[in-house]
Amino acid sequence: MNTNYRSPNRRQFLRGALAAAVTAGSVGAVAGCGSSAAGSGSAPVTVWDPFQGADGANMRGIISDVSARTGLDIKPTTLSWGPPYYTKLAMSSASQQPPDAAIMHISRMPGYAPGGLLEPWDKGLLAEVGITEADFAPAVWDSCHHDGELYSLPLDTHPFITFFNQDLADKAGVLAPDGTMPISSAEQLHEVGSKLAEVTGGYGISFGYLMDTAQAWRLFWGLYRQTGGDYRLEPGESAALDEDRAAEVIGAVASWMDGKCLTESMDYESGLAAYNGGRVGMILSGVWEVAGLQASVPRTGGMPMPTMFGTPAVYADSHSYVLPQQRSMTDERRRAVYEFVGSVIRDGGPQWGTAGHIPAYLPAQQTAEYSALRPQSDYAAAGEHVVFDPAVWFAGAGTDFQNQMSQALSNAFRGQTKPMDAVGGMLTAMDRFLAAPNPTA
Amino acid sequence: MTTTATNIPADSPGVPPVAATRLKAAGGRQRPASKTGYWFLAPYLFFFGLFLVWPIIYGLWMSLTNRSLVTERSEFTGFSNYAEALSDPQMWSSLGNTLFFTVISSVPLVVVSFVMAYLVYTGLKGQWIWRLTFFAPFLLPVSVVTAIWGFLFTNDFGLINGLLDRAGLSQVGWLSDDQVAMWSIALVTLWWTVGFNFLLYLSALQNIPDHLYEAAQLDGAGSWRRLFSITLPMMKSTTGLIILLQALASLKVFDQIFLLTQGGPNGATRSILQYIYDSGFIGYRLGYASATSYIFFALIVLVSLAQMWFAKRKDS
Repeated sequence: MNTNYRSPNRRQFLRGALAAAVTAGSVGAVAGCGSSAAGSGSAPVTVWDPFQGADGANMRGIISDVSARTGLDIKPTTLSWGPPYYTKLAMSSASQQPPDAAIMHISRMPGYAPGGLLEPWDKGLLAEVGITEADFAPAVWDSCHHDGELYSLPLDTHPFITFFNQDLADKAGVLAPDGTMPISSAEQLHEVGSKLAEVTGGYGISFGYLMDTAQAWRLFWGLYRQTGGDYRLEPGESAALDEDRAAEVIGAVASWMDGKCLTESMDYESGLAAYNGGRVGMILSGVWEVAGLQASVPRTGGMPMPTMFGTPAVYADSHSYVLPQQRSMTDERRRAVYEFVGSVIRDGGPQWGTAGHIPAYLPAQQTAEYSALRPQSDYAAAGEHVVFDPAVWFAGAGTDFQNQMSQALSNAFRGQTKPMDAVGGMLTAMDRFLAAPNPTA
Repeated sequence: MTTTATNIPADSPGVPPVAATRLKAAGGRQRPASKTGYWFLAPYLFFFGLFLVWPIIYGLWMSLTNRSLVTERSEFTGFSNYAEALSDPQMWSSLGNTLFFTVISSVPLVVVSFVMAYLVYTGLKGQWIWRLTFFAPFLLPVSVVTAIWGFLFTNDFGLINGLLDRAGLSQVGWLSDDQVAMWSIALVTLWWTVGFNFLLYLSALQNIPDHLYEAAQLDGAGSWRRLFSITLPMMKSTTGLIILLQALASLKVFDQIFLLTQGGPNGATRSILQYIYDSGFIGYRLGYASATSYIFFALIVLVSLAQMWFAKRKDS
């Protein structure tokens, strides 16, 4: 009897569960219809970026201006910066549910374009929305290409430069009358650092690199390219650097770390804290720190990384817009995406520059609004000599490659290994990357 | 007793229903009347299958392919991922780091937790406050723990180096010196998780019958003698359990390292789990990462078997 009583209930339960599953399925199907309807141009333009904090607020402001100006419906999503940003972007592309446009560092584009995760920009359509090659510095524009196609559209360049405390630099007597700091050799940087140290009573210059996954590499790669040093990174072959020049650069950085000019025990946060606390007169850092530095030291000057090894070169990366490969796209929708990105780059450029980044769109650099920004406009020239990461699939912002290079370099910067051993360590790590199968191909 | 009982047929007149149920259970010859229980288990089994069994099987398959995170292409490559992992110096160094961490963290985590529990159990007044103090850090999320210790360990303006400076001693690169970093992480882990082992030991200590100590005292055993002849032998099975749990927990170390040093300096603290994460999610090589996971899985099974064998041998 009990069994008879329970059985129908169980069946009812099962029937209910089945019904629930079917309902859920049909809701999913309806949702699916909705997203495919997005292709018809009715849905908002979706865009992903990794901008948090001040950058994020700035970008949201630019987007709402663009929205008001163009009448476009934009749906921005901000994901947290770091290696996982690229993991999510790649996964969304691979699963064919990507945003319409996304921010990507130029240095990562060579890893994404060949595998079919990105589609190239249509230069004709770009010209229609007012974006042409003449609007960008050649070094930046060229880096946006892969196999002759334009895969990324640069919003900015953000080089690794020098900032200095104008008051302390004045006291140390290292400022030229025009407010710049003339440095043209590694020895001269050491001299300037030592003079600053006399004023601060501690160290002269801040450079936080310990335990950081990129800082040592940023400094090294820019300076190495100043030597004119070339490299060969071809998958399947062994890596090559101009070893003597690489060792010369590493040796120079290590020679600065004498506990006066620079200290060898600084991590990223300590480096910033020392500058913000007025305990050093200068900092080697990325332009994205400008707002924070100025908040603590209002008289903060800036200039491109001094040319110390012959050829002007500044390590940089660039936030650029890419088009993840879409399953379906209508002309109308494509045009909306182009209009949105064009408007951000063109009209939002000067405002984007307030955060420290150099607007990639040259006319934005020439506006009165941007020219009035100090020290931003003082270091804008850095954009002319930018060098990016090697154009291989495993290099670029937020990669294990930068991390491994930084680790090999850090020990030599602080004098624990010889410069030539660090070069050897870098080459070994490079060879490992070159030998590994390319997962994006 | 059971034998007599099972001789009585369950449906005999005069056997009360409760006894009949017990008979079925004891005899095990008759199937239970209903399978309702399975329906209660079903949700658990469903998720267990979906999120544990299936990924384990799928991961094994992936380890035999060149599956990438970002493309749909996937070809069967046999054991090539395993061969690559076994000849990869980075795999070995991260595995070495993990084993080193396991040793330098497990030993103090077992010894210190016992000492703490024993002190609280035997002598210290106000037990509740000690229990709270020793256990409280365990309740903190890893992000908070690493934030606190990250500040304490900072080179330039960290509290610990500040104190060293004031005492006229030279600063230590707690997280930035590759000879020191892993020890620092073990110290953080000790502070953070020792409370759990402490509780296990404390409850085991409280289960030792008082009369054993009374008898020993009557026989003139001093406190050291009581510790070595009663307490420690009675703690054997708890210690075995704690060692096993601790070794497994330490082998799985990832979060505190990832948050404090990201595997640096110079790879000195990169754990095998971070290596797997790096290969799979940063390097996009899911097939290779799966193979490395399986190598690590084999190691964990070995450790568990060794511990069980060791415990059994001691018992016999």
